[in-house]
Amino acid sequence: MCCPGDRCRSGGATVITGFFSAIPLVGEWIQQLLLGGFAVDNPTLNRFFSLHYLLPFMIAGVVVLHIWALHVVGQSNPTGIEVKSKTDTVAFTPYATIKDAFGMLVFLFIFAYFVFYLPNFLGHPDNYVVADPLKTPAHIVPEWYFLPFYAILRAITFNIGPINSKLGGVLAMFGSIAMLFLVPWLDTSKVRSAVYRPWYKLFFWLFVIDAVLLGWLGSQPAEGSYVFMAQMATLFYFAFFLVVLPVLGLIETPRRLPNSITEAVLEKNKGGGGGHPARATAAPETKG
Amino acid sequence: MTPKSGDRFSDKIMLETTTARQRISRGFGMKTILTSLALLGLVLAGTAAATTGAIAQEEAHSEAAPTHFPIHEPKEMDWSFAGPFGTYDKAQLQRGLKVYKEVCAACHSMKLVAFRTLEDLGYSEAQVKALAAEYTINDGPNDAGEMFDRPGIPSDYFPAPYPNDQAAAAANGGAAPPDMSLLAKARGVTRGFPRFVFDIFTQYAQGGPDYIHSLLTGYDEQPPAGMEIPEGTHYNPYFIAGVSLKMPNPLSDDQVTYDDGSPQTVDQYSRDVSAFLMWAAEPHLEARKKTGFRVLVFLLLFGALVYLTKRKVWAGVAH
Repeated sequence: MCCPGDRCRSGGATVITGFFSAIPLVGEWIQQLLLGGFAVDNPTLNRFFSLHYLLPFMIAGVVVLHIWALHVVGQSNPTGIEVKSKTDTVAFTPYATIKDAFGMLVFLFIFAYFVFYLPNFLGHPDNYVVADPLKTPAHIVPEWYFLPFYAILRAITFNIGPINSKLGGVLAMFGSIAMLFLVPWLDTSKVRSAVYRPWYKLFFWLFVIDAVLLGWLGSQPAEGSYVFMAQMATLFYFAFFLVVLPVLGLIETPRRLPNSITEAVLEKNKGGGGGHPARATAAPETKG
Repeated sequence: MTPKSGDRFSDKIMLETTTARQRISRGFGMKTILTSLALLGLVLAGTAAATTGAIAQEEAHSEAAPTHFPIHEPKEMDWSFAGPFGTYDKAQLQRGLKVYKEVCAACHSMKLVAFRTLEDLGYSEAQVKALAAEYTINDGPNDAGEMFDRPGIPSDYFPAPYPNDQAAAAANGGAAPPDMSLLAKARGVTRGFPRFVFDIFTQYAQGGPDYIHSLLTGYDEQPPAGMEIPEGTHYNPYFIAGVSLKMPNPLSDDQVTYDDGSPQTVDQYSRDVSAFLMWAAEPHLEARKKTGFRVLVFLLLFGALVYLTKRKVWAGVAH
């Protein structure tokens, strides 16, 4: 009886299905349903493989929704101002097409660099050790993009009333993602772009630093002062969504908004400043 | 986590706090939020400093009772397969195979490596056949339902020295020697910040062979006075999970005879066997790097053309 798969992932499967055991009353039942047994075994792997081949198709479905939304509400823009006239917009092709094509090539270059030269850079040596259900790895480190949420999960080390620390951690972790879905209702500001909101800009960058900090804490063992730091960082994470977004929108005085996208562009091109020559707005370039 | 990165980290936060404060002094309002934010920043910076202190304290802790392993970082060696144009040194791989066969194979299996793949090392088909035939493979069942022994053929895999993990553990003082097929990729010491950032640009991916080489040459060092070495284990400051390991020093000078005149030293043996294990773990490394170079050159040229086209397209539009 041996379980194919590597040591880290099988430990990961144990942890992930363990999240559901934190749900009161039905938790154990859901965990066993997901595992297909009492521990990680072949049924678990079959289920997880099925889920992971299915997810790309679901993402493809969401891409369809994305294209639908693009056709209905149009593209957003850095100024956050509604399109008012024809001069505010350009055709999708060739303008957006060629720009996105270039962006995609830059991404592919970085991606290929990692694929061909550093395929194990973001992995862990334990991924090359055969899984053994009787031996759990000392430290389970999730993939790097899960690290901030892993830190939030482990930051809840205390019970809150009837919610024990395990359920609390799971709720906080899923809650941290749920926050993103609530942003349209949490953000009270009339101004859509951070370009015209100096205070929001500051908090946004603090939030970025906080997320990176959580990511680093997620890769550290949950002991000593790391726990306290993770708790503080988690507090700021939630405060950003639940306090900063609603309150800041009400009390912040935004900078003057341009009347239209065209005006914003013209202003930007005019006010080059600092020795940059002002660029003629519609002069055809001689290059090419 | 090294104390150095801890310092940088707290510096960063303090910097952030000062920015927040400067902005407060500009007198915008919302003082309370910002003050609490600054306080939060200060608390974080404080804990960061405390962590740094704690780590420094731990490191200053008596040499005889280290808490972080390995005690010494692996030595970084020059490997022929490092870098964007790395290739395996076939002579070195052949020497490494010899060391594996004559030393390691006594205890370590390599059950994911087939004899036929040894042609990569520069052996001819006939040589591989002869090499495979040196081994006895347990096969079957035959028509009578019985298992039987036969000489190996190129499509066989290296047979394991023990019938199962329990037998391997029982024969080796309780610790089963790990399978060596993927060992060079299954071992590695965490690089830590900021080194892992530099590793992206230097393409450092030789943590496994560096670790194996350091471990094999690390048995000479004597434990510091007062350190307790559990019975039946051997001190090695390069071991990743403690002060000592169950495996005794496997190599000594002149233990394996080299036919090509290479020095018959422990250092050379360890280098050769580490390179061989890297090949075993990743036989297609050369093809990967070669293809990667072509792909990157293509993407660079294509990307440049698309960029110029983009400039041309957007040239007539204010943006």
